[in-house]
Amino acid sequence: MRIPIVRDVLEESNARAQENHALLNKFGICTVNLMSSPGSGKTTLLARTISELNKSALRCAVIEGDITSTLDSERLQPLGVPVVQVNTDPFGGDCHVGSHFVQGALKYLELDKLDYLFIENIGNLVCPAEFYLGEHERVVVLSLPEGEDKPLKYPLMFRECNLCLLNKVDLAPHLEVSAERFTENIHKINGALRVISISGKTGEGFEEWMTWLQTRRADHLSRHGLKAAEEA
Amino acid sequence: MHELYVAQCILDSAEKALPDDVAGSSVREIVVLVGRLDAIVNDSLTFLFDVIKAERGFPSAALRIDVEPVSCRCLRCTEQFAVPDVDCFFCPECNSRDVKVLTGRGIRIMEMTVEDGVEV
Ligand SMILES: Nc1nc2c(ncn2[C@@H]2O[C@H](COP(=O)(O)OP(=O)(O)OP(=O)(O)O)[C@@H](O)[C@H]2O)c(=O)[nH]1
Ligand SMILES: [Mg+2]
Ligand SMILES: [Zn+2]
Repeated sequence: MRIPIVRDVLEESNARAQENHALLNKFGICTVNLMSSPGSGKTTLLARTISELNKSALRCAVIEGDITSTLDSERLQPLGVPVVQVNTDPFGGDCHVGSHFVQGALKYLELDKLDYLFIENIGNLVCPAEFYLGEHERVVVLSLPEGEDKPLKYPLMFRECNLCLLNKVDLAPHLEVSAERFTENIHKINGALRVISISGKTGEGFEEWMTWLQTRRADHLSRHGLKAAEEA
Repeated sequence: MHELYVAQCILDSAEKALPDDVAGSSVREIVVLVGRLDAIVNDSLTFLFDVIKAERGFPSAALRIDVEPVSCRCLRCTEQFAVPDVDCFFCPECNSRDVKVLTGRGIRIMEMTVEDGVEV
């Protein structure tokens, strides 16, 4: 006999993400999920982003997702901000950070002392897009050397994000690609996706990225009526 | 790549959806509907499902995967349209890029088949 049911198989995962979201809202922490292929420049951008935010007295923490190593966490140590490493290897879900990892990691952070939380997801342009973690912003980093066809090959990622950082633009003179063609392809998949050309190496584009981050944070704070009052 | 995790989620979800008086071991088939946008590799999902199903209490369940095509609605002119190749999200009617995905995203269990003679 047949038993009809309609049940979202990620229900459990989404429920935990919702719990994370509520907790992050309670403390007014603007949370950014950074996703990309391996080596697009997430850690490099993160390091520079955090030192910029620290200059404006904005307090940051990082959840570093990696399959096994702690190399990226070590690279962020000199910044002196809290970094929680999650290794996904023992759980067989080694291609993305899951909402249960974030839930676990949040317990290690002093939430009342944070303005931004960055989650560096596992380097992978497919899987992380599928899983909501409770974040406020989803940012995909795409770098020029990867080639302009990537948005067309990995459409879900570009549909699911609300900002694309087009990284390594300092390399443009050495490559046979154009930032315009990248943007064209990105907009074929998601016409609303904002694209910021950036370089983790030279700092180009950082002003625009910092403004975006601060605008988004202000927006979340006012929407949830959090901390805004305290800061006013 | 996340097919193992999805296989685990399907079995967890099936477990929860099963009526109290039906044993997992009597389930013969689980039907899932997978969105085309989700980029699931069906063969890997089936393979991994078969590897772990016994230890999760569904030893005789086969997995059937149906793929849901992608369709969108234009937020400007309300036209609904199919996106067969998932590489171009434009309204064919008014060219707007402001479109909302209606179908073709998400992974859902739709149905389970239980051995004949098992009362529910
Ligand atoms: N030329 C140039 N190189 C960059 C830029 N950003 C990062 N890189 C280099 O690209 C390489 C990979 O950068 P990472 O920051 O480790 O990339 P990632 O995305 O964190 O990599 P995974 O965590 O392994 O997925 C390093 O050698 C960086 O120095 C950039 O804007 N320009
Ligand atoms: Mg990294
Ligand atoms: Zn239209």
